[in-house]
Amino acid sequence: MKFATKLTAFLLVIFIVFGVLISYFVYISNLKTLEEEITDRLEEQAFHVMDKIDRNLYERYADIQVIATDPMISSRDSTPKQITERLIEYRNTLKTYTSLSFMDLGRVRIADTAGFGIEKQNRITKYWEEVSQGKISAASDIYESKTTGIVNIHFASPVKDKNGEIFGFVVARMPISKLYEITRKITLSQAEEEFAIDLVDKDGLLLYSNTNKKGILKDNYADSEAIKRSMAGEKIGSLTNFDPINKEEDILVFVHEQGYLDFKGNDWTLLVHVPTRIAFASAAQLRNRTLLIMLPIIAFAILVVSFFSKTITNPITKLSQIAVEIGKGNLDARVNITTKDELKDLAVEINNMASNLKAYQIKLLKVEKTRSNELEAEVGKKTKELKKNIDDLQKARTATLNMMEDLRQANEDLKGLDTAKAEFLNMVSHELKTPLTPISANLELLRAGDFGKLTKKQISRLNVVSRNTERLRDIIGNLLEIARIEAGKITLNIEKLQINAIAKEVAQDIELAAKDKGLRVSVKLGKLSTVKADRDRIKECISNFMNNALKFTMKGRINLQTEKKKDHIKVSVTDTGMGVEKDNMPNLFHKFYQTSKTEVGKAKGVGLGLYSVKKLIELHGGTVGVESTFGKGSTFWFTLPTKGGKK
Amino acid sequence: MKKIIYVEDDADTADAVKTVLELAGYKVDLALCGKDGLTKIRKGKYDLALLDIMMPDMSGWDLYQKIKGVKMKFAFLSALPVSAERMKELKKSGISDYITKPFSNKDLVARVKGILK
Repeated sequence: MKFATKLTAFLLVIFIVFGVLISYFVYISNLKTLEEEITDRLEEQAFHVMDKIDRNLYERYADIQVIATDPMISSRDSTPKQITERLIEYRNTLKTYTSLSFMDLGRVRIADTAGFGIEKQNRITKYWEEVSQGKISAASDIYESKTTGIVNIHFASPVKDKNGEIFGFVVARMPISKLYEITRKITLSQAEEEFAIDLVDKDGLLLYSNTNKKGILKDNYADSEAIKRSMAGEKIGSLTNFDPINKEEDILVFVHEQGYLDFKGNDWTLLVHVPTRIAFASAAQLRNRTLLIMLPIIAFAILVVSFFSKTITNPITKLSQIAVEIGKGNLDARVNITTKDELKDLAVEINNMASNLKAYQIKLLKVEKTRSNELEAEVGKKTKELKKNIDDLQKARTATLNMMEDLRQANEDLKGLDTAKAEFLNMVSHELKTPLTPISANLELLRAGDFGKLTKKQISRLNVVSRNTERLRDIIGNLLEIARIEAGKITLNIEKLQINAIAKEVAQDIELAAKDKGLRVSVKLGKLSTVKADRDRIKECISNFMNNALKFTMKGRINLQTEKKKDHIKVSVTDTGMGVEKDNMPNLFHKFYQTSKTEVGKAKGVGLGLYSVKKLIELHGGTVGVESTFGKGSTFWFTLPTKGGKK
Repeated sequence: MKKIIYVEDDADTADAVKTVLELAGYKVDLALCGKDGLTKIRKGKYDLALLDIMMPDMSGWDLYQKIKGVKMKFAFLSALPVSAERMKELKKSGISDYITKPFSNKDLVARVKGILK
C-alpha cells in the first residue's frame, strides 16, 4: 500500500473520531433539554391536578351554598324530620358526602343524615364562628372524625330566614380520599409506578398522602424547602431532594393552591415525589443507546490507527537507526524494509549511498597510509625534543621547591626571633627600670629633707641629678614603647572616648609648668562625637605635643584645639615657639631625629617622642602632620577616624 | 600601726621603699626572695603584701597563687608594664593595685594609703 493511501486512511479515522465526539456533545446538550422538558411536563401535570382539586373544592363550595338556601332548610317552620329528609336527598343525589347536618347557632345538631348526635352540642370549629356571624357565605376546614378516624373536609354555609337573619348553618363532610382519584392522573409515558403525592396545609401538616395514610394530620412538612418556597409565594416549582426512605434522589414538584372563581383556596400545597431514576429513564436510555453505537466505532478507530501508525513508524525508525550507524562510520550497515511505499525507495537510496561511501573510503585509506608513515617519523623526532624540555623544566621546579623550603625555614627562624625579641624587651624593660627605682626614691628622700636640712648648693646639685634621672626615665620609657610598637607587641585597649575630656585633662596637667615659664595655655574644643581609641595612648600623644610646645616656646601661648571633620576628628597644638625650618619638616616624625643644636637651645631629647606619636596614631588608623613658620611657631596635629577606626 | 611586708630581690629598691613607707608611718618587713616572703607571710600577721614580679627563685605571681588564701591585701610593685585588660583580670583575682616602677615617693605613699583605707 502506498504511503499516501495510509495517510488517507489515517485522516479518515481522525474524521470519524471527531464525528463521534461531536455527536457525543450534541447528545449531552440534548440530554439537558430532555431533562428540562421532563421536569416541565411533571410540573404541568401537577399544576393540572392541583387545578382539578381547586375546581372540585369550588364545586363543594357551590353545593353547600345551594343546600343552605334550600327553601325547606331555610324555613324556620320546617321540622327536624323534614330537614333531615331533605339532607338525605341531597346526599343521595350528590354522592360525594358521607354526611350532611344542620345545626343551630349554638352548635346544637338539629338534623343529620346519619341520625348521629342529634340534640347534642358540637365541638367548636374554626368555620363555625365565621359562618354563624355571616362573615362569609361558605367555609371549609379539615377535621378527623372522632368516631371513624376518617379525615373529612367540612364545608359549611350559614342558613338565613326570609328576612336574611342567620339562625343556623349546614355542614357537609367529604372524606379527603375523594381527592385521590384526581391525583392518580399524574403519570409519565414510560413509567408504570404511581408517584407519592402529598397534600400539605399552610402550617406544613400532611392532610393527605397516597402512600402514607397513617401520617395524616401528624407529619409535619414545615421544614421542607418546597413548603417554604411555596409559602413564600412561589406558585409552582421543582427541586431535587434525597428521599431517605427509598434511598434515592427524587424530583420534588410542588404546586400551591390557586383557588377557583370565588373560592379563594385553603393555602394548600401539592407535593409530587418522582424518583429521578424514573423521571429521567428516557434520558438514560438515550445515553445508553448512544454509548452502544459509539464504543465499537471508537474501538475500531483505535485499531486502525495503531496498525497504520506502526507500518509508518517502524520503517522510519529503522531508517534513522541505520542513518546514525552510517554517520558513526559503520559503512557496512544496510537498511532492510519490506513495505512497498516511498520509505522502501528511500531505504534503497541510503543503501546505495553507503556502498559508494565505502568504496571511496577504501581509496582514501590507501593514500592516508603513505602520508601517515611520513608523519609518524616527524612526530617521533618532535617528541624526543619535547621530552628533553620537560626534563629541564622538572629540574628547574625541584630547584625552586628547594629554595622555597629554605625560605620557609628562614621564616620559621625569624618567627622564633620575634618571640625572643619580645622576651628580650621584657628583660631590658625590667633591668633598666630596676636601678632607676631606688635612685629616684632616695633622691626624693634627700630633697625632701627627711635626713637633715641641705645647703642651697647641695639642693642645686641634687636638682641636676633629679632632672637627669627624670630625663633618663623618659628616654627609657620612650625607647621601650617604640621597641614594643616595632615588635608588634603593642595591643590597643579600644573604648569609646570623649577626646575633649582628655584634652582638658592634658591642658590642666601642663598649666602649672606653663605658668612657671610665663606661657598662656588656651583650649578650644569643637563639638565632637565619641571615637573608638585607646585612652592612655591618645592622652600620651596629646601630652607629647603639649610638652614639645612647652619645651620649644619661650614666650607667648600654647593653644590646644579639637575639631570635627567629615569622617575624622582633628586634634592640633599650636605654639608661638621657634618653629621648624622648612628643610627639616619632613624629618620631624622620623626615628631618632633631633633638631639641630641651634634650634633646640636648652631643650634636649632623644627624638623618639614624635616618632612614637606617629606610630600610635597610625595604629589607630589616623594621620599626623605639622605646619610651621620658622621663628614664629608651629602647629602639630593628628586625626582619628570617626567611622571604622582600627580595632 | 599597719604592717606591710615587701618581697623584693633588689636590696637597694627594698631599702628605699622600706624607708619611704616607714617615714609615712607604716611598719615594714622585707623579704629578699620569694621563698623568704612565703615563710614570713605565713608566719606573721600583715595588713598588706607588696610583691615584686620578676624575682630569680619565684615570680611574684606564683607567690601570690600560694598565699592568696591569707587574710590580707595584695599589690604588685613591678617594672613590667601592665595593660588595662590585664589590670581588670588582676583586680578580679584579688589584687588591690599594681604600681609600676619607677614611681615617685608621694605616689607610692598615696597608693598604699588607698589600699589600706
